[in-house]
Amino acid sequence: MVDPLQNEAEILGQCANGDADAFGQLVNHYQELIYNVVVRMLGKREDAQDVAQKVFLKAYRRLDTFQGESRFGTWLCSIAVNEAISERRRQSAARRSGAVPLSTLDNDLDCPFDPPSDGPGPEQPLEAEEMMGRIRAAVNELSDDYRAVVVLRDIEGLDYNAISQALGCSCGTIKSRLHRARLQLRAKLKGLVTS
Amino acid sequence: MNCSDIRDLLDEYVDEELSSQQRDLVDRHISECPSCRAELETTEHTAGLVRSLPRESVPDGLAEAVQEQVRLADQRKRRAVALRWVGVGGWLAAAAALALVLRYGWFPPEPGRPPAETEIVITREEPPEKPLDEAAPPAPEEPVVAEREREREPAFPAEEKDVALPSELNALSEGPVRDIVAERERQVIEVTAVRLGRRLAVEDGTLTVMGVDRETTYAAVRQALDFVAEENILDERRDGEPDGEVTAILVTLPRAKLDEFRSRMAQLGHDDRERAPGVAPESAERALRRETLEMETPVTEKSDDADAIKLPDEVDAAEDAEMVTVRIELDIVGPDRVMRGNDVPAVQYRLQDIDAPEDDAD
Repeated sequence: MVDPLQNEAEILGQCANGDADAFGQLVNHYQELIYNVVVRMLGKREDAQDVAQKVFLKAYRRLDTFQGESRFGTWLCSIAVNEAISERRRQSAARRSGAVPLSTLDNDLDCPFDPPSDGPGPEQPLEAEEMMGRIRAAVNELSDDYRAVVVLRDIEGLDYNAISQALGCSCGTIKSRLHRARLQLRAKLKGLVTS
Repeated sequence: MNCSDIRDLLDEYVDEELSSQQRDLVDRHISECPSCRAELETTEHTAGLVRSLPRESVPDGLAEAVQEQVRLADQRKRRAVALRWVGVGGWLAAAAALALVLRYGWFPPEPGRPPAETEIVITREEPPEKPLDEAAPPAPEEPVVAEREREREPAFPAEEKDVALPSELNALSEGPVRDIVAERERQVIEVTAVRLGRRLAVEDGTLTVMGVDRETTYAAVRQALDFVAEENILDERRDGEPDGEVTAILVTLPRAKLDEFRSRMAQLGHDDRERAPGVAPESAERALRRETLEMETPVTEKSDDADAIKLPDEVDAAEDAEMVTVRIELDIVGPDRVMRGNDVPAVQYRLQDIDAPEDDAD
């Protein structure tokens, strides 16, 4: 996980006094972390920018509730996970109600990401790209709770304590979810996971 | 420790969450147990595959967009604080603000066309005799709007899209406007809606919609319902912090027009549950937790009150028509709701005259 800014406490104090520019420093520092959490939680890039904006705006409005009990980045992750889950559920409900063409959503799920610009070139095996697609799809198919622990632990590198703070669960619950999530991933990625 | 004990520790081993003592235990065991060693390798490999996913590049302009949103949020906050001390002279402004909606309309974004970012700020006219810096709180029984009589003329007919707007409102509006007006007692609660892509944010819980005539009232209600459904759907607010979930809408209209109101609402796809008892309620597991904001002072206005809003097309027909404020309690804002053409959401609601005795039918 990204390290805190050196003078983060001071910057947070400035933000609390209404210094929007100071908050901009935090946004610049944490935007990569939050954007990646949102993308992985949503399972696609589409809408991730909007949700990431919403995360930061919500954080700004609620800065007075941040007590410093966790790192600021962890607190942001908590908001990001919640916002992404809410957004995903909104979209899921819209899909069930038929408001969004199923074909569009199915395409999104099948190919949620554009090929990475720095991905394998023609000389590299296509399997690498396909493998990444399978991994993304497997993570995407996890339940919200399991996906959250996998994203925060294996993708963002938060430790168990930070994850428990971000998700509001005990460390024991985090361990249990992570274990079950990995078992599900193992089954979904059968053939990729060597044993 | 046996194999089962060791396997319980493998995730923590992979994640380097074990103490050095526990780690030594696992190391010793797997050096002698091929089965547990294989299990560890599989766990490591599974985690490694996820960790191999490439990082996503942040799109250009994210930080700048956030800064802009923050700036707008600060503006709204400052205005809201200032407005607390402004005497309410706002019914006229509210009606005129509603007319802004009529002028610009509210239409779901066309497919494939990114919606414009829109900020809505509804504010109030400051009465000249009550300057902002006057420290004393506003007198509680000040007439609401002296100029209301001017509204007998429907100044902003729905059909007329290019009608000139009051310069004060023009100055306050920044781009196309969707209005949400809320009022509690005599203090203005500024409700702002910020259009973020296809999402809306709301900062208060109860919306009061007012129209200068029936058409505008229906339009405002429809807009409010769209807003509510879009904002509330499936938002379980896992963080436990209220962020503006809307569960009730207040609408002021002539009591005699309630049936017509229901009819129009039904045409818009919104069903009154009391009039449609066969409609299945939402499932409990999908039901959203609601926080219905309480109106401390219910608003019921009589047309013989000089300050009461008179819907222009009602004035001639029923000079003494009773105005009633009904509370639309939204019963379904979850996945059971129906989305109809153009993404217009339908909700079920229960009309409740807020002056009538509370019933527990629900």
